[in-house]
Amino acid sequence: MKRTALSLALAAAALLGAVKPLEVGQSVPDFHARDQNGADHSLSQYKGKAVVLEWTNSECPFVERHYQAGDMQKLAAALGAKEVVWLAVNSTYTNTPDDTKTWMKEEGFAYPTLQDPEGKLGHMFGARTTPHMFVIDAGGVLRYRGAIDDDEYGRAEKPKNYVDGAVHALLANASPDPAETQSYGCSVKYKP
Amino acid sequence: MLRPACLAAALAFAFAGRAAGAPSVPASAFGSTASDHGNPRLEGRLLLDHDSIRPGETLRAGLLLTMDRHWHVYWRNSGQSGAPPRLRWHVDGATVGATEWPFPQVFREADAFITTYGYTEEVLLASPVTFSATASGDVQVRLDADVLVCEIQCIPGELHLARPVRVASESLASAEHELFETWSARVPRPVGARDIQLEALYSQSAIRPGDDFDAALAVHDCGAARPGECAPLEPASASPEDAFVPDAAGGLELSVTGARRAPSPGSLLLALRGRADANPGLGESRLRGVLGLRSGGRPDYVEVDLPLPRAAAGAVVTKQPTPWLDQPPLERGSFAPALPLWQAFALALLGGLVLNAMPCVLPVLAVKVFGLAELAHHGRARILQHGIAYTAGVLASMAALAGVVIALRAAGASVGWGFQFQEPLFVAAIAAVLVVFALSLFGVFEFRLDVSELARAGESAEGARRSFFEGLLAVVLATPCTAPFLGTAVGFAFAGSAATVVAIFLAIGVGLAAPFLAICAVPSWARLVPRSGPWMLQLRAALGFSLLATVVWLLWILGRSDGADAQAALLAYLCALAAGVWITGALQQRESNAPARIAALAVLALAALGLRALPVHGEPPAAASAAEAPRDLLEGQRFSARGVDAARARGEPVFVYFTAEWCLTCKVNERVVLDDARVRSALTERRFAVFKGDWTRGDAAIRDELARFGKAGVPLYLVYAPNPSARPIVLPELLTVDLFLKALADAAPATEEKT
Repeated sequence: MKRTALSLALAAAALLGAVKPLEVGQSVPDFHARDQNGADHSLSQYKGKAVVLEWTNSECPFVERHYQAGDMQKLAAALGAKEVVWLAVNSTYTNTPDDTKTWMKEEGFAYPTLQDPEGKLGHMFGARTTPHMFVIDAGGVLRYRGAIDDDEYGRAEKPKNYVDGAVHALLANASPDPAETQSYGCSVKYKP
Repeated sequence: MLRPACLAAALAFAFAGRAAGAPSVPASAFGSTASDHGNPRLEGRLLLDHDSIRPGETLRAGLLLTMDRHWHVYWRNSGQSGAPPRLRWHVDGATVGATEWPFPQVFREADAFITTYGYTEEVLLASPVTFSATASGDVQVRLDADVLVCEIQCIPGELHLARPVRVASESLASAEHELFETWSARVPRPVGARDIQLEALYSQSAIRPGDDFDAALAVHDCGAARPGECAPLEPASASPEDAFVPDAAGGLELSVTGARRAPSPGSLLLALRGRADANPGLGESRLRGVLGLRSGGRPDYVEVDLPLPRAAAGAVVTKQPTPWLDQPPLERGSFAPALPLWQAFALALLGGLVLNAMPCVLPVLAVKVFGLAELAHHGRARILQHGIAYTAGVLASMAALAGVVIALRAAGASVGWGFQFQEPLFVAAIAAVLVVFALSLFGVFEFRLDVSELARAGESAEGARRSFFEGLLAVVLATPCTAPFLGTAVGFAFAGSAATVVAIFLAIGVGLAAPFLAICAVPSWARLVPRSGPWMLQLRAALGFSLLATVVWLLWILGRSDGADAQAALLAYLCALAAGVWITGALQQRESNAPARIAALAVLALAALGLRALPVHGEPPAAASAAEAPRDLLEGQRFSARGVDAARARGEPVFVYFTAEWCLTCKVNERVVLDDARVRSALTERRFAVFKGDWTRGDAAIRDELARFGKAGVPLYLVYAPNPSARPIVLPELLTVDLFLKALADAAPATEEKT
């Protein structure tokens, strides 16, 4: 029941585009989504763990650059060792689970990629770019929203990785700083 | 990984100079990048405004970016996606100042869920380069740039350009100097000594991390100091909310929610919605961005840098009143002609008069004149009585129509001229009335048992009642037609008070009824009506068929809106109705009136019930949608103000037309003029973006756009020149091919194909 109501609310929000996306500091309502294998994931099942959401699109050069450099895979593995959940989300309306599987094989990563071709999760979180990163703490509160790092063209010797910083702050019971940054990249290709 | 391909492409294009009008530069100062499967989407040219410069002086160096059509690069704040270009200048013996960003355009994606700022086609990003007093000889100006270029997909590009400049005893401007001047005019400047004053207003005394707030940016021109001497300020962009483009520094996200007309003339208020990010630091304490204004037709671009009070998280702040939000919103520029009431009145009379000659009303008028011939043997008084009854019918229905318009408008519904044809049930009912009317002309039955008999409104003569009824029918049929002068008059009425609506509608009625009334009233004219004779039976039948032709048209409208099933249902209904009328007619032949009367009542009741049961909802069945058909040029894009603004912002010439299936005038124009081969090729060759607004079933956005041009109904034809600040050309309601071609040529002189 609850789940249906939420899906309806999200669908309505996606249709109207009127509901305000989540802000940092707000509790994230429980959501359900299927990954590339059809397995269901909900926020509630990860209660007690920090969750990183990474908006992705294999056709976006910014995403490609980070994956070719191994930025995402390495960070996900390093944080995974600390019991942090990493979920990719693809809101590209043309993307299929098979596309995702091919891409995962090519780039060598195994964390689930939530399939969101209707853009429901994307609109709920206010995801605008790929990559666009969201960090949710163990209590289900959104604590970071923004760019993966401060280096949009991949020029910096030592870019500052905001997600790494935010998660480590949370693990140390501190507040992420910055808690919000302006993300960069391709726009999310929402269903027209 | 893509680099070798890029390099090869760059070499191949180095001397091509493919962008029309871009200056040719040395090969080292040219690059093309952002390869889209081997096709570079972006060209860069390093330009200098001087060929030589004296030591200690400043020149301007710039990166001219040329994008493929529909591709764009970003402003210093890219907005909610994208990334700004990053320019790194290296000039030995000189210091390079900050990039001067021309005023950007606003792009909206995913139903405005994603808003970004940037440039299409071409932009020059210039920086001042100041040479030291000891510099001399040929100095290399080098630039490394990362530039993201996007259409739907995005491709990051990189440019590495270099060009020498001579530092010598003489300063010589280069051939590119003028280009710098052109772009420099679009770079926002500090308010400085100009007559403009900026002021920021906030909905709370200070903004804390994570706060949502309302704000307003007030722009006052010299009107305050020297009233009456300054032209009023207007937003430079087609949409007022694009007049302010915010920076994003310090975690402030601002968006413009609308423009307001400020209390003092010449001032402008932009309503903003803001949010401070949740970062614990105090963050930015300035409101920054750029304003694009126009005053007296001249654009003016201004840097905004105003104080914005901040407070720490948890600090106590007070709410501040926001009276500016109550100011009336500033519409997108209105092109409605300002008419004095008497002129609108005169146009209404004239429009009503001309309406008689339009295909909608003609059959009714013909029936009327024919009716006169039948009456020719009656006395003048009797004829005049008919004229007055007809006029009363016209005026009564006009008044009723005005009443309905006022009531619907008060209820917030979107109404316009001919709106009743947006209701399929109405179309079905009118088809039924016309069939019955045609059958009476065929002699199947006598009209003495007509609708008005039931009302028994006084004991006026039978013919006068019929005239009254015909007056009603004339008005009902007239509305899907519009006539010259009429559009402006009706638009004036719809924009006015309830009294204006009534007055203008009645004036149209007077105009509409005038010719028939005149024939009735002036004895010498009445004599012109031919004497009755056997020929009249044939004419009656001919007029009956002309009414049936109108029914064909109504069936077509219904078929378009509800599909073939609904159309068939209506045909079956009309068939049953005709049978009922035929039986009634047969009974009329009998001695007693009673059976015919009962039959007529039964037919009427069944007709009403049957009408309610018709499967018409104004929703075409899913399968009937023409999505499979290839998109026709004239189908264009679906009208939206945003879409039109975006096309204009891209520098495309635009043709917008508003139409409805039930609008006969529209359909005639489309068949005869828009579908003409010369018109089609002109639209294609001149690269017009075509937008179609379909008003068949009503639409608030289209209603608003019509109102902006002082119209309350279709058709409306607009031609926009590529220059985003040019006023649109509004074409008349009755188009001709020559007129239309001329408008297209005026708006978009033939351009050379970019190769």
